[in-house]
Amino acid sequence: MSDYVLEVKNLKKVYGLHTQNEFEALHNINFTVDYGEFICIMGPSGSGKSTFINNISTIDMPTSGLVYINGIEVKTMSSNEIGKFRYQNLGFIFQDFNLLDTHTLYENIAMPLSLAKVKKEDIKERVHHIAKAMNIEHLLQKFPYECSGGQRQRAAICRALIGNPKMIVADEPTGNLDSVNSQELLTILKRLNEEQKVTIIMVSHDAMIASYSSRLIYIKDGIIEQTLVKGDLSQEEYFQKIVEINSQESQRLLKK
Amino acid sequence: MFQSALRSIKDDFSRSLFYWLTFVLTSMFMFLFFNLSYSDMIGVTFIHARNDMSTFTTVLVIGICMIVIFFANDFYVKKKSKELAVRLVCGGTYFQITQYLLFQTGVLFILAIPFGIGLAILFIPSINYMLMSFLNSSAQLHIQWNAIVSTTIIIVFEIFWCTLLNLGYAYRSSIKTLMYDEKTIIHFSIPLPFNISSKIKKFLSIIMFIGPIVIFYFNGDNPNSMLILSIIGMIGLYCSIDQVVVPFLNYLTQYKYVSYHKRIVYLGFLRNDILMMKKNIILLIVSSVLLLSILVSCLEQPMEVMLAMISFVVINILLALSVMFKFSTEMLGRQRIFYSLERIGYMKNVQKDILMKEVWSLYGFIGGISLFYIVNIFIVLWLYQLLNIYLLIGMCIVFVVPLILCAIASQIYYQRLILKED
Repeated sequence: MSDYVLEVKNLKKVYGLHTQNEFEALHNINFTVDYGEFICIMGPSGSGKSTFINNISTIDMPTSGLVYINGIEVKTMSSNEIGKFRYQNLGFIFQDFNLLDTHTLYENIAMPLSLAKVKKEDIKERVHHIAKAMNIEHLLQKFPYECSGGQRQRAAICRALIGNPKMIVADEPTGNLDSVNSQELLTILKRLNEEQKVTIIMVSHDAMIASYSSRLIYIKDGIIEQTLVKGDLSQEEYFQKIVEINSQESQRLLKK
Repeated sequence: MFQSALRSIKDDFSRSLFYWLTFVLTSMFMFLFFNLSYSDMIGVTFIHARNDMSTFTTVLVIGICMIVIFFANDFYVKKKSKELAVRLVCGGTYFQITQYLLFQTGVLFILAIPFGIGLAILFIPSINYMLMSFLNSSAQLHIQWNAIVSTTIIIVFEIFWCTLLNLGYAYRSSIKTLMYDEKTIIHFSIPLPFNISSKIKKFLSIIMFIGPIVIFYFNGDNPNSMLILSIIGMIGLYCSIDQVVVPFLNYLTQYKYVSYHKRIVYLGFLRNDILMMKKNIILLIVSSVLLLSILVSCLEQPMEVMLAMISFVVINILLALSVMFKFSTEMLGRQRIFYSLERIGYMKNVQKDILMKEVWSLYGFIGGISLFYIVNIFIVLWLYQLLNIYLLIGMCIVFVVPLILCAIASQIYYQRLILKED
């Protein structure tokens, strides 16, 4: 077994390769994630945060460089192996929910389990159990477009968590939520991380949300500019440090 | 305003293309049938209407073409609801939005008419050949100026009123509702003073759908009654889709096949597609039954039989294509859904299977449910010796072939759209 759940070596992503609009979004990034870490990725808009998490989570393929998940190089995996790897190991939570409008919440949440060929009786039990925990059990027969943003996000979280993933990748998961729902989501993620040792990689703009993590990665212009480890800091002290990192960027812009 | 309307056509090219193709086909068929109705052999004029079967057939075909335009327009405007909402947010008035939509539709229509009429002109020698070969008729179909004028006037008026009608929907809806596009259309229903349980609703729907077929067998020597019975049957089918088919698909996706990763997805898609295609299915069956009634009523007159047969072919092609265009427009919104599926773990090869099964289940459902009705009518007509078996088999083939071809085209288009490499 590998020492890291995720290891990235010289990751480079170029969009529009060999065209007039060629653009290098990520430049030779090296990065490792330990088992059970809670990492938050921050950075200004357009810095490459989403590109980065897409490339480290099999959603997108890097132009060059290596990505190892559990010691396996992603590029060596076949399409079927990647699919299997996703529903067995990864849970995705996105700002725009990514729920299927053609399916009810029940069906949306059940999909990762049906991919894992879980028995229908177990699917029913697990879907109801997680929906109850997220307070959306009464909405299971509704379609996503019949639910509010918060309810849809909870359904997306249920779908991400139902397969008991070893790693959760979240891109601005609280972007469409109010403060109460955001707090609730973070508490769930924190609990999963602490109690079940689920590795979490989350993109956020919000320093308060980032303060729940154990390590902060600050990306700017396609490179990791700073790393901040929480270590023995209290959440408040950690939050202050994150605010400082963010304000450095604002101060730089003001001085221009 | 006009520039942005043109830009919108260009940006939303695929959807506009399907709308344009609907105009091309409907104007082609309308022009052909206006030519037929104005010809010496049929001789319908607005002043001297003969009110015989030929007139009914022609009016029916033109009417069906108009309904197809109405459905296409309705779908086109609803798919643009988000765009309309943005315009309203930016300060646009309903009058400006009306202008904007009318201009877009007008441009597509102007581009479609020459193609439609051109295609119809290409078909006229074939119709003349059929008239000569099968009926030994010396009568020839000529291009009539009146037909061009009638086709244009009818479509222009229809587009104008359809757009206004659809804008009424936009006017009634809030900007927020429009933002969530056609999914949140408010369904108006009149509440009944009493409560009917869902079991009774299911039972009544099935009885209304199946009952007329049973009556056909006892009343087959009176083909005119077929029409009224079919209308009852179609109301039954319309209700059965909501009361029986959709709950059955819910049962399949949520219980029976919930642990089958492909079935859970394509059955969910199918449920959505069937609800979207409900009106098209009804129109497909009703128009076939109407044309059969006409055919049976004029068996002694070869010219009228010929006209009814041509109408049957033309209408089935048109309606199969309208199903395909509507489905293709829906597919354009599926890219995002398949992207989400990929994130969960549905890879391209599985997606290919899913979309193939969705296409064939949908067309299979449309063909199956329509054939269930039409074949029973055919059997009744055969039992009462009103039509011979070869003609009936031929008509079944005419009904099925366009649907199969459209299913193949839909599958190819769907695969190209969804499975293309990023």
